[in-house]
Amino acid sequence: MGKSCKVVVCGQAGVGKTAVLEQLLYANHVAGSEPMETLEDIYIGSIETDRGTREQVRFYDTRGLRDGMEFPRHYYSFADGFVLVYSIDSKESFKRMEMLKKDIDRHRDKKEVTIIVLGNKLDKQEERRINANYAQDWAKNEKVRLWEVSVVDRRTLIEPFVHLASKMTQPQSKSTFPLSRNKNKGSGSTDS
Amino acid sequence: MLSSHSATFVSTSSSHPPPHPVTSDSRKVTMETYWREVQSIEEEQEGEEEEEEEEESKSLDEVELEEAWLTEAGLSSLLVDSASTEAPPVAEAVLSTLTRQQAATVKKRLDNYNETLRKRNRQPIRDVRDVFTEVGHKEHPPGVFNQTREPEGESSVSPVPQWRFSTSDCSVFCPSDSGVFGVSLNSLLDNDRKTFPGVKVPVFFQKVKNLSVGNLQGLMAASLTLHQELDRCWSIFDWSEVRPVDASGLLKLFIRELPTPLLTNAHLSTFCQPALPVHQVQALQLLLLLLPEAHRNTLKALLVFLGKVVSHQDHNRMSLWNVSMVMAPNIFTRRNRGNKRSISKQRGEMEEAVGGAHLIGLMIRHQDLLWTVPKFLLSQVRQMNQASNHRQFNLRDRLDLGGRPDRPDQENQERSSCVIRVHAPLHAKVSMAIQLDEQTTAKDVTSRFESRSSPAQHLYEVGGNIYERRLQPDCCLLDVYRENPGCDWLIKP
Repeated sequence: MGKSCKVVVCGQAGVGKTAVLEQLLYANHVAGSEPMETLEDIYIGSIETDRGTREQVRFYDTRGLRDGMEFPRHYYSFADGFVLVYSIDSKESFKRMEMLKKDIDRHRDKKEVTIIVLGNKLDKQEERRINANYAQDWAKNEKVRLWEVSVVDRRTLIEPFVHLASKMTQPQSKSTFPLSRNKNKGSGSTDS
Repeated sequence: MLSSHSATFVSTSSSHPPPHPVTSDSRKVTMETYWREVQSIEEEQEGEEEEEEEEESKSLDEVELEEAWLTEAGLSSLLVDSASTEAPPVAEAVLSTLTRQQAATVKKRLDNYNETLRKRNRQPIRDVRDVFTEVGHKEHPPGVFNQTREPEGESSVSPVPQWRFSTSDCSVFCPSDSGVFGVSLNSLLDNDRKTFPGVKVPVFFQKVKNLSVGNLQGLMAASLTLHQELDRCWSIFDWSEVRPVDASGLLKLFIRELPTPLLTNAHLSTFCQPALPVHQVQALQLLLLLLPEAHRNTLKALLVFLGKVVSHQDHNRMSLWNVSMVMAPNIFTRRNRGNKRSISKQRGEMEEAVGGAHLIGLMIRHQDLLWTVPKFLLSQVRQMNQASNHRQFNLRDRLDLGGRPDRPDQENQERSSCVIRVHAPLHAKVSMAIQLDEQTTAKDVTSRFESRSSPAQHLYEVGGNIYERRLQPDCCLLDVYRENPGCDWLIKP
């Protein structure tokens, strides 16, 4: 099986990074439960890719970023993939996510990393501050895939992570143009 | 004989303050239980007794003599070769090739040889004073802390140092491979592990335990045949047909017949030393640490079981005192059972009886406490390990092998701000960084890893200045962290 891929999950504090992971791996997260601040937790998950292989992925659940906090540099150097999380009810979290994307591009050198973006808290439709189309346009421009998800509905989480795992473990020859495939479709999300 | 015992006891009892909170009236009755037990043991042993005494005079030469004879007869393969671990071939197979008369002769020689050898291997009784001085001399390796894990004893934290025992402490000697009685705990365990890998307490013990929760006091007569049958065909024995009374008899017999007493010869007399009740529990804690692991585990299982029996006392009328009294003569097997009994000797025996029973009671009652390593001992071990680690670290530094290369900045930062990293290799969440404050307990941490399906988990401190220690749920982690800042934190069952 070889060594597992390392995926760093990052974003603004309180956007639901831990909730996404817990729901994905254990399916036991209760939305609205009291948030507990993460320092750094590591999870191991096994994900079946779209090629039918099982891949072991190490998820680094990082500490939520607050005002004036820099994202620790060392994550940039060892990650194979990033899950950037924002919350659709917070403009600030989206901005933070944009900055993280830029930082990753700046620090990754020539290393190939897979990035996916999750707009969490889709269940809070009425408090939405980030327009879905606006987000998808941004993603298209940045050549990343973006999904709007909700931890309440675990099914929304499956597709992004299967995509992530498939992408990271793709045989080298096929991924000469790693982002070309993403252009054709703007939205893989279940947004309404 | 019995009446004389109890009579003497009554007369002496007034001079002794009762060691146990029972009324003297009930004591009078209950001490009879003790002597009844002693008498039944004696009756049972009477047969062997006489033999034993004369055989004791047999010297080493006799072993050699028999050995020489057997070798000459071309049967050296039957001899127990101390150098090889292989069990000698079954005598019956060899004997089947001989004529009946020849076979009988060989058998007799062989039995004699085995019996004498067994005697020889019985360890001599050591003086109390030797016990601790010897341990002091022996250098024990840094950080050898081991867990005694018992599924039912989840409340007990038991970091137990593995003192190095001289081989005489736990002699591995097995006269007949298939027996159960009179076989040392170690060889019994070795045998059991062939079928049940990883067992810590002899399977025989567990089986008997399961059977006799109801009533401990049993009739010994019926168990004699069972005893023989068990010894012969242990592995195919049908446990479902054994009655609880017989099982309890077997249990007591098993404990008595161990070639090395449960509390070991080396320490038996130390256990019997009188001490203040306050110090007694403490002394017991230390003494139990000195026992070989197999003995300690078996004793623990025994105490857990006896505790269970006592907890049913409303139904079985076995109070703590009653249970202690029945068990005491089995655990503290009495020596120098002479015929000439002077008054003073009887008195001494009386004290021994009361003391022994009292001690067993103490062990049953405080068993949770007994398996906790005293704090001062723990900190002493920590200091010793710290010192030796320091030496190693310096050496490694000089050899320029360096420390762990990964993320030194972060690690330093974590150390100063009381953040620990808990590892849980068996979980999907394999690692978690946790900020400690004064209130954080081990339970807080384990609860973060808990899920509905997984069994109860424990937090362990591993490495640093200790080998491994299971932390009690209410243990304050900040204290542990300060005590052992270099340790790893592990979650496992």
